[in-house]
Amino acid sequence: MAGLTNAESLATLDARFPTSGGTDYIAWSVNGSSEFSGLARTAIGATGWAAATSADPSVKANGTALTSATASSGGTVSHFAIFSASSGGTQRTDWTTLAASKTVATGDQLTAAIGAIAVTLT
Amino acid sequence: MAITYQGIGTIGANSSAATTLNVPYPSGIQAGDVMVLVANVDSTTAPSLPSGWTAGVNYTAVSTQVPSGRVAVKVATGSESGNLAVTTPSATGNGYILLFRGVDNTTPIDVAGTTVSPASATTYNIPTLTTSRTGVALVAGGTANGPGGSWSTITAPATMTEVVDTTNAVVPVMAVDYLIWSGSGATGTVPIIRSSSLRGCGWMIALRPAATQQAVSGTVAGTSDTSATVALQAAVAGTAAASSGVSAAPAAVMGVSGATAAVAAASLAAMLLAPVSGTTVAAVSDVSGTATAQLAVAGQVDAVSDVAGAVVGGSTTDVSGTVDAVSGVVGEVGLMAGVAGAAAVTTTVTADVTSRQGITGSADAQTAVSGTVSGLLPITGATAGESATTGAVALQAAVSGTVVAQTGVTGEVSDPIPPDANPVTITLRETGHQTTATPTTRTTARPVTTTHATTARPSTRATARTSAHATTPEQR
Repeated sequence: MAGLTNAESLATLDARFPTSGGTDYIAWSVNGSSEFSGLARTAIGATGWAAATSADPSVKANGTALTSATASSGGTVSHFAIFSASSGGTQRTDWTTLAASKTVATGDQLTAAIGAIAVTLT
Repeated sequence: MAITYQGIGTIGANSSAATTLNVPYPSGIQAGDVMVLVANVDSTTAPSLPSGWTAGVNYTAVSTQVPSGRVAVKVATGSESGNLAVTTPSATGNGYILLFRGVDNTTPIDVAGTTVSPASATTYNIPTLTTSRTGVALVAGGTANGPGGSWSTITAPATMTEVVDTTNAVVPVMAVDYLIWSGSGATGTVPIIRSSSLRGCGWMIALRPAATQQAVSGTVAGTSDTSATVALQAAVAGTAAASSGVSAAPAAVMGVSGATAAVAAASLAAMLLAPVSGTTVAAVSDVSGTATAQLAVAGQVDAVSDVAGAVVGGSTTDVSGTVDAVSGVVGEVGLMAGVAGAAAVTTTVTADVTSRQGITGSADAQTAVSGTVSGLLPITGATAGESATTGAVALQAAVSGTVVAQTGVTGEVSDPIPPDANPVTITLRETGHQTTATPTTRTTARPVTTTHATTARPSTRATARTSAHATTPEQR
């Protein structure tokens, strides 16, 4: 496959999503184009990224389970994106479709098991 | 997580005045369940809040009369058994514990409860409360200065389930209902109705459901539009393209067997190393850095236009295709050994053009070359510096083809050919004048340097190390 070698993908992912010192957050969307105001961004945490895998393609994923805040309003969450801060900041990934949309009501939370939020680079 | 009702413990009662009310725990308690204690006394003072319990509501009959009571909640540890001892004023009383599952353990009570304390009445209108979300458990009850009468099931905001309805067993009498409410917001007034008119109290609390957690997953597949370095390294078997907007260096290092293109607006170096076996290595336009193609390039190397940096065909060996730097090259264009095809520099080259060893095809520098055009040894094809060449045109040993410098050559044309070198022809075309070194054998030990001043362009000089060459009178 054309593109980066697996080793280069791994190195790039680890450089851009480090295993320590990270300040990334997951933002949620109900339309794939803007952030859902009913659910605050979820912190990945300074050490929340696991090391990129050596598999092909290399995968960068969350190394700890994540739990969102409780929703302040209802909606069907269909997309997520990675941002550099808890509000504002830089959008680091495009809005990406969740494997399955989730309808949340007020008070509900989203969880991401270890490895559930992933980034690949090919 | 939806709240579910798990049951109620046996009603504890003091039929005679006492200061401790023992209320049995319900069975089946699990850690995380939420217990709701309701304790009523025939007193104007409510029971004390047991240790570890959170106050819900207190109530006392109108005008500080009996009865009074308390509702409290607690998250179960799962180890509860026997009775809960509730301290009360010295009075008769009764109490019970309801058990719910799926209640938020952090904030069991969703919003503050409400109470009403009417004088003698059959309907106690419990004031509305406003829930924060759907799925709360509304728990509503009444207590009256009985005995006597019974209680109807509460029907607002929807029909509830009545789980306690005491009549005259022990003073005071009481009832409790619950509803897992699918609505949210204001409940509206909730009437609890008795069959007989008595003074008493009505109350209601709302238990908050535990947060429903839904697992999500997703993968961001990163491909293009990256602002980071795009690096292409070994063993790329297909086409590797960094098309546009690449702000860092695209590098294809080794073993690229397909075509590799750095097309537009590459602001840094585009490097193609060895061995590139594809057909085309192209740095097409607006390359502001260096485009380098080194060893063993089997295909064509093109630097087409507006290359602001150097284009180095450092093809020290085995470039079998064409190397073209066409126009607008302001840096160096270097073609070294082993170029088997044509090497062409067409227009507006402001720097040096070097064609060195082993060029078997033609090497052309055509117009407006302001730097030096040099062809070293051994060149078997033609080398031409045609017009407006302001720098030197140097042709050295073993040129076996034709060397042509046409009009407007303001620099030097030299041919330092060794005595045993191959025949060479040098032609200077300028308003009909020619200096020609026709094929001959160079036999002099040291070449004679001759300066030819033409009538049309006095600055034009041709220096040739030849033993015999025809000159016109004007060139003397």
